[in-house]
Amino acid sequence: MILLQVRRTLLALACSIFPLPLAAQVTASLDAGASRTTYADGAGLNAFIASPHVEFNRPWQSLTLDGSFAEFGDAAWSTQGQLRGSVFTPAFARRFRAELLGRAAGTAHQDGAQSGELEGHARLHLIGSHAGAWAGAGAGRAFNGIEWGSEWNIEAGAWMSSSLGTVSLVVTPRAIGSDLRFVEGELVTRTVRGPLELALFGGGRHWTRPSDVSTSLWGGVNAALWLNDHVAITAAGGGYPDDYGQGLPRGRYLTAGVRIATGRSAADLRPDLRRPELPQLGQPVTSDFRTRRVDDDVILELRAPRARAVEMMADFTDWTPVSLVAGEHGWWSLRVPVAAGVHRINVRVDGGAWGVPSGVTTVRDDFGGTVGLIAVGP
Amino acid sequence: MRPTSMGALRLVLALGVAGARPAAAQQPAASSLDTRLRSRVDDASRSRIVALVDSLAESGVARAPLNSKALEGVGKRASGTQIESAVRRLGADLQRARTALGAGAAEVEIEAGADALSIGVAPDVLTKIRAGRGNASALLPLATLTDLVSRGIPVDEAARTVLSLSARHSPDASYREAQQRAVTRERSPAAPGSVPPHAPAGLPAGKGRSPRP
Repeated sequence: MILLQVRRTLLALACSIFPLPLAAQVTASLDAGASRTTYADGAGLNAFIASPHVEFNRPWQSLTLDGSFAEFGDAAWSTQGQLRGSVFTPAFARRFRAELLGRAAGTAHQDGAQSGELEGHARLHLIGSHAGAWAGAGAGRAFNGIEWGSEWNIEAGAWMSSSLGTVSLVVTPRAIGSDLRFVEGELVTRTVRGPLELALFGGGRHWTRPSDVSTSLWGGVNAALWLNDHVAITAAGGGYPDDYGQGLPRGRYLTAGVRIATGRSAADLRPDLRRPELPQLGQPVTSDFRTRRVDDDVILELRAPRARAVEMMADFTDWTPVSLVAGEHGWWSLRVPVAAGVHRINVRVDGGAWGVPSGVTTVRDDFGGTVGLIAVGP
Repeated sequence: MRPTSMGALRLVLALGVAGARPAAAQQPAASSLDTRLRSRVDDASRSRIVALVDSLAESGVARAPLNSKALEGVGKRASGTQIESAVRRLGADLQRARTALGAGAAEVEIEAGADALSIGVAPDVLTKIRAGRGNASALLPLATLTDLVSRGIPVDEAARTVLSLSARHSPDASYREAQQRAVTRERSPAAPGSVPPHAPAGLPAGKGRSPRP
C-alpha cells in the first residue's frame, strides 16, 4: 500500500512537471563548434561538438533538455544529456515562492563507459525587485561508471540585478557518499551590452573530509556575439572542477562556435547563467488568455478548468463585473463590443480577488492591486 | 462573420495601430460616473472627484480615461480618497505624456504614454520615441515599452530596446519579438547557480573515475 501511495505521488509529481501543454513558451538553440579540452590526467582532446538545448516554460513550470554529442578526430565519440524540471508555488507572504526541482543527467562514451545522476531539490525563494535570495536542499544518487552512490547538499544563494548586469553567489556544502565532504562557493556575473553577452564565473571548493586536501579553484568566461536575433558567434574558455558524483575529471577548455536559436534568450549564456526569477505583480488568476474579433465584437477567452464562476470587469464594461460563459475544456468566454485600442481588464475566479490572466501585461492599478493591459485590433 | 484570431494576448501582438479607433470612444459618460460614485463614496468625496475631472478636462486632458479610472476605483471598492488620488495621478501623467509627445499626439498615444510614465519611464524617452516614428503612430512602441518594464526589464534597458527599434524603423514584428524575449526572460524561473554550473554544457565529459581528493 505504501509503495502504491509513493508511486501515485511520484506519478502526480511527474505529471505536474513534464507534460507541459502546447501553450508553453518554447525556446530552442543549437550550438555547433570546436573545442580543445585538457583533462586532469593530462589527456587533451580536440572535438567537434553539437549541443541542442530546448526549454519549455510556463509561469509555474519549466522543463529544460540539454544534450551534447562530441566527435573526436579518431572517430571516437561521447555524448551527454540532462533533463531538468521545476514546479513553483504561487507567491506567498508577498515575496516568497517555493520550488521543487528534479534533474537527471548522464554521459556515455564510445567504449561503453557511462555515468549518471538523479537529483531532487527543494528551494525557498525570497524575491525582491532588484535582488533576491534562495535556500534549499537536495539529495540524489549518482553512478560513477562503477557503482552507485548517494549524495546530498544544502545551498544558500543571493542575486542582485542592475542596469549593469546580474551577479549571483551561491554556497553549497556537499556530501558524496560517506567519506567526502566539501563546501563550494561560486560567483557568477552576467552582462549584456548591445549584441554582446558576457559572463564570468569563478568558484572554489574547500574540503572538510578529508581535511588535508587543498582548496581547488576554477573559473572562466563565456561570450556570445549576436549577429541578429537568431545567430550568434560563441566563445568560451576556462576550467571546471572534478565531479565526484559521476566520476568525471576536472578539465580546462577553449571553445568557439556558432549558435542558432529561436531567440536570444534561448540557451542564453552557459554555464547555467539564467536570469534570476523576477518579481511579479500579483499572480495570474487564470492560465491561457486569448481574444478573437468577430465583426464589431471581441470574444475574450480564458482558461480556468476548475472554476465554477469567472467574471471580468474592464473599462469596456464600465468596470461592472460581467460573468463569462463556460465552454469546453475549461475555457470561459465573453463576447462584448470593444473598440480598437489598449484596454484595462481584471478577472476573478469563484468570487476571489481581482487579478490578471496569465500572459497579459500587468501594472499596478492605484488601488492596491493590479490591472491588465490588453490591446484589441480593429 | 469575420473571425480574426488575435492569439495570446501580449499587449502589442494584437494591436492594429493603423486605423484604430480610440478606446475612449466607448468610455463612460460623466453622468454615469456621478451615479456610480454616488453608490460608493460620500457626497464630499464625490463632489471633489467630479470637480477634479472637470478641472483636468478643462485644462485639455481627455475626460474619458479620467472617468474610467474613477469607475475602476468604484468597481474595486476603493475609498473616495483613493479614487481622488488615482484620478489626480492619472491626470498628471496624461498631462506629462501630452507635453512629452507633442501637440499632435493622438489620445491613444497619450494614454499609452501615461501608462509608460506611471511605471517609471522618463518623459524624454517618450519624446524620442515620438520623434523616431515620424508620421507613424507611436502607440506600438509605447505599448511595448510598458510591457517590457512590467515584465521586469529594467527601464533603461527597455527604453534602449524600444528606441533602437524605433530609430531603425523596425517593422511591427520586431516589437513583438522584443516582447516575446521579455516573456521568456520573465518565465525563466531558475535561480542562477541552481545547479552547479561547473563544466559548460556541450563540452565532452571526461570519463573514468575522477581521482580521489
